[in-house]
Amino acid sequence: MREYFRYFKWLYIVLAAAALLTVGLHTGHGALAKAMDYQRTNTQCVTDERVFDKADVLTDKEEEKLRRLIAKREKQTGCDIVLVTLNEPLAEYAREIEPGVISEEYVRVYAEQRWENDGFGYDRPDGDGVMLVDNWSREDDGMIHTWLCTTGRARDTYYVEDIDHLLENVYRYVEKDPYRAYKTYVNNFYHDMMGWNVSHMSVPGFVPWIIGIIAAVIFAACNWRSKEGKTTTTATTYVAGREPVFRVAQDRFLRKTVIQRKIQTSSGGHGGGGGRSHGGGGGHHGGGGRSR
Amino acid sequence: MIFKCRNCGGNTVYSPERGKMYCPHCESVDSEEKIGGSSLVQCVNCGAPLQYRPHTSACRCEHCGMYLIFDERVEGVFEPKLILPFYIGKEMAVAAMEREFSRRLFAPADFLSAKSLEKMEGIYVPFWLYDYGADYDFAGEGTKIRTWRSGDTEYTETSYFEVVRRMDVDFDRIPVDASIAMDDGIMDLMEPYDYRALADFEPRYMSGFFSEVYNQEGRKGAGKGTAGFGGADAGLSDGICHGAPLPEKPETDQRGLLLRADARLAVCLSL
Repeated sequence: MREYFRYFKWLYIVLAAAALLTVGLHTGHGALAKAMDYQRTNTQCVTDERVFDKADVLTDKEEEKLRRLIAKREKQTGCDIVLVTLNEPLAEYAREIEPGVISEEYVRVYAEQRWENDGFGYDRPDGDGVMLVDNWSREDDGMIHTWLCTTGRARDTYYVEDIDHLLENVYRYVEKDPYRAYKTYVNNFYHDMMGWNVSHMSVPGFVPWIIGIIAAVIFAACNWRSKEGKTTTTATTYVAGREPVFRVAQDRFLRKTVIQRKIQTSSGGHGGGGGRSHGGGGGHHGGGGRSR
Repeated sequence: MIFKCRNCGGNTVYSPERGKMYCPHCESVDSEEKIGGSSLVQCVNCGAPLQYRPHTSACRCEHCGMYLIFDERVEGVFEPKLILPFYIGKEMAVAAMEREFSRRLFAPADFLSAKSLEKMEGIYVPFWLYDYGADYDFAGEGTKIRTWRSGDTEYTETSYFEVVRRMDVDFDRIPVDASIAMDDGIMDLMEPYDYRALADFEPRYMSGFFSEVYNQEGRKGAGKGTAGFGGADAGLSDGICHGAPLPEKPETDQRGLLLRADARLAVCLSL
């Protein structure tokens, strides 16, 4: 057994260093999070509520847990974090405010109006904050639309790909477990604002296992191969003079054939790619939407 | 037969480090005295009954520790013509073993234990050496392809050749082990042996080691050294091979040989 420890000593040292680093980062992260304590200065907001579950997709207990989580994250990020679920068509409402608005952005109109009417914003009305509006009602286009509305520092922090990533994480769970999806929204926002989501790559849980298994197989194969003896002789090892004596070495030309082929040249250009953009309908709101 | 020291009466053995006979008891060199007469039944030194394998020609008495060489198994038809004496001793062999296997993860835990290493013995393995004469005759069609472009046209020119090769290949002293007990695959991995160190056979080289008399006809594996010498090796992959080794021809020279088995480490272990 001692031999195994000795053989793997560098692996153990690296793992121990990685473990120490992880513990250190975790501890530092916890300490920093506790130290972050923004004071809310917006006194004009008309409500203290942050969870508006009008679609009734959350239980009371889940709503309460989300409120506690949001309260904690608001102090850490210095942003209002608001969640609205709806279950009503918004076409009439949105068109009344913005006549030409498309169906995907009914929720945007609602979110912006709601944000302004309630005076959300951590530092001042229309200040720093984020609102997720998830309308469970299908619009005329047959789709369910969701909008993430950002203002102030949140708007400065969030780029299109960040919004995409956050909404993708929400959509991963929302149909089966809305609470988990909205909790993900709050936590994802917190990490983004703290700058800890350096990479938005999401690694499925089985990937480390697969990597571990592949590494183990490669390691075992390498060691197994090194166990095998290598052939130490060649075809000429026992040949006197190390090479055969040629009595006849003759190459006689027989015939020749020539084939010609026309080379096809391509012409014309390629078409341009399609694009997709997010964003609010002007003003000081940022954000982006997604449909399911 | 046994080799005793004229000075102290101890058992003199062949010392690979010294290249001479050596008495480990009084440290005398070349002080050996050959005492003939041997029995397959009992030790000529102490009279204790012997336990040996069917083809053993040299062994060690388990009672008195004397290295014994059986006269009737190193004489007459069993006498080897040549011997490749050991050139490293047990200490060097152990050091090499440790160097090679101490970092092998999957080696058995007790592979390098003192108990295992203590049991390590040198053993001479009988071999046949073959000289081989072979004629190879290849005939085939070869092609040479050239491609170029001119404007928007690509041309491919294929030239066809009749390729003929006739060659003589003399194989010199191909070793084929004559021991059933030794695994052929492992023995092949020990090749090639250093034939420059070959010496005329003398029983004294066997003192201090184990040995076997030949117990396998060499003809069984006689063609092995020529096996890789096919068309591909001659650079004529498209050719047709008409030639073949001629195992029954008079060129084949079968000679008895004892090769020492310390060139690689695995077979230093006693059987």
